[in-house]
Amino acid sequence: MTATLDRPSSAAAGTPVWTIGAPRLLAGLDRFPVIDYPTHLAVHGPMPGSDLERVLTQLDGVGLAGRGGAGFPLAAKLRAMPAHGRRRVVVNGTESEPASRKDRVLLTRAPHLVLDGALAVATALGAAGTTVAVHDEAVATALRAAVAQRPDRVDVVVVPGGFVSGEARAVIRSLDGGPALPPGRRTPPTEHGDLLANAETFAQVAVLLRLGWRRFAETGTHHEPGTTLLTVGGAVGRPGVVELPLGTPLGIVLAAAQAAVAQAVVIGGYHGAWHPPIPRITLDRAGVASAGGSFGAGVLLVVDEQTCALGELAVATRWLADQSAAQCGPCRFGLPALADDVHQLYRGAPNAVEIAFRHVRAVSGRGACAHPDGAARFVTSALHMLQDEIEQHAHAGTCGRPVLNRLGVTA
Amino acid sequence: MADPAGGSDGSDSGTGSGMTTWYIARGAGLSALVLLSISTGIGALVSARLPGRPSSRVIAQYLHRTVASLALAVLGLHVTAILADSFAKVGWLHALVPFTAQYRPFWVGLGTLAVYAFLLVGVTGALRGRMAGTDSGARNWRRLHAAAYAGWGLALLHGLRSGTDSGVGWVRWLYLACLVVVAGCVTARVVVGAPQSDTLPIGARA
Amino acid sequence: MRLEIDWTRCDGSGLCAELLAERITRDEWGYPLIADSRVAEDDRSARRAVAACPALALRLAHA
Repeated sequence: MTATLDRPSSAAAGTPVWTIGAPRLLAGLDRFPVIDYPTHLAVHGPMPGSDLERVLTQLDGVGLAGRGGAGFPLAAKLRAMPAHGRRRVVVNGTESEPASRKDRVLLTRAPHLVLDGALAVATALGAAGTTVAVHDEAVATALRAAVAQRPDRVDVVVVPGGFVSGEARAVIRSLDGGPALPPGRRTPPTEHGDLLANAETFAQVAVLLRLGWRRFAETGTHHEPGTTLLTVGGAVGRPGVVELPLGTPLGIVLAAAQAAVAQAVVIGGYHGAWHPPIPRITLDRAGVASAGGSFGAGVLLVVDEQTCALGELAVATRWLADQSAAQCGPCRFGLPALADDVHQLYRGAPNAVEIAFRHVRAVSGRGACAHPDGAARFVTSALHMLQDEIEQHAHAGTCGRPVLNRLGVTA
Repeated sequence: MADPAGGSDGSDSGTGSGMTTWYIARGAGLSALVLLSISTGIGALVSARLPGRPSSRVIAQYLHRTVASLALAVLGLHVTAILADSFAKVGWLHALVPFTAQYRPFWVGLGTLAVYAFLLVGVTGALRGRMAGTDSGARNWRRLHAAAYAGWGLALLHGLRSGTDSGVGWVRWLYLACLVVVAGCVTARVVVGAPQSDTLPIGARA
Repeated sequence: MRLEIDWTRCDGSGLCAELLAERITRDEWGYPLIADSRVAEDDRSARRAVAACPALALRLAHA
């Protein structure tokens, strides 16, 4: 068994995009491969002025939450910013979640929506600078070309690293010349004058300020209005990045994505959870949370009946262990131990379940960032779901199916 | 030996109560160096990733603090006695401002600098628990407390070159012993590594 | 007050578990497991453990 997964391809050029309902963020991408500034203005219209009061009114009107995974309300971040001193707006475009492509699609194909939102927030806050942090050189190149078409000044910075380097404080630390690793203390970036949000969040801000909160709320759910981007992958006929109203039932998305008959779906990506393919689970933060999971950064992976789910889990857990920055002992030693446990289960060892749950507890809540907790949630949810599989492997040594790497590749 | 006492054994320049502070200054200086060497050595070891039970580290920390406190007290006695002594002719200003003393200004000045270094080390040592609570404090603590190594080196040179008794045989052996203790402990620490180095946790080795 | 561990600093020396045996145990790799992190303002043994941590990883935070 290997521990490697296909790393995200650097460019999003090959990622198909489609929509359920009317597109907002992805508007125009059916006609244009890349939306340049004049086209952007033609598609979306001019950006209205943005003072802090108006921005906060609009954000509060729809309770806009961050789209990077944590789901923190953006208005609360704005209010937590210091009134004086150095203030900076940072677009987190690192998209280090391995299965996610949505931010790459936005930043390479509809970059001006993200830039509009970031610059509007910067103006509202009176921030001195706006920075976009990305992992891929190709994304940076596309973004710099987009910035050059505008009168505004935006810095595009490539920050290095893997999964945990995309964590908000790791991005800030890297921008400030430090290592791209989460620091040991959980102080929010706003404390030092940094307003950081995910790329899609700023694109949503641009849409919200143009539409106004009432029209923005014409789609989506009552508590989570608007649309969301979702990266769909695994055993589906139409993989790619999808824009859909928040609250869309899983069954509709699976049908639209031409998903194979599923034994499980993974919602939220590698810090998300495994779920049975229950069609009525709604795809919004509250809906996925009530199903025991996390919407995360918006990833849906389909694990079909043709693949060995336990093998898929073993590969994914090994990958998660490899992504530990080895900064914090419990994560550094606990995740590899957990990966060994899952591999033992795959090999048919029956007693490994208890040890695996012990190691899940050993990593939970014991790290500088959310990686051990996210990994623990991912593995726990899978172990609960795959009890029959585990028994089958313990009984016969295998389930007879190959590992088709459904969690590793999208698009 | 060219020293104010005029003799290598330091005893032929005078006797009687007038010389008491002078004897105290010399004795306290030597004692301070010995104690500082011991506490610096233990200090290097307590933060090293040496194997052994945690309880032995607790005892080592206790020893480090106790010996260091004693060393600072004896160092204070050394400075006080020098100032009080009419024979040494070191005034407050000469003691406070390095390199202004009349006798061997450079080497006496190193002693002044060493005192400053150990004052910083003492203050950071006392504030250790408090500094651990803030990010910048935890980051800077090790750096500031490492002034002990500089202070110890300065103190050794100061004693060797401006000390009255440096020519005496057993005193020379004492200096050598101080050097061996600190160098040995620092070497041990460098070899096994400081905390946060890329090795197994101490508990995982057992 | 609350006992907190900076996991990026902690190297599992075990001193805190030694000094605060009633509330801190160690996991299979030697890292501390805090049973109850709440600490009274005047808890001297907790303060002593914070001061003793060789890695400056243990701290008291205002809850």
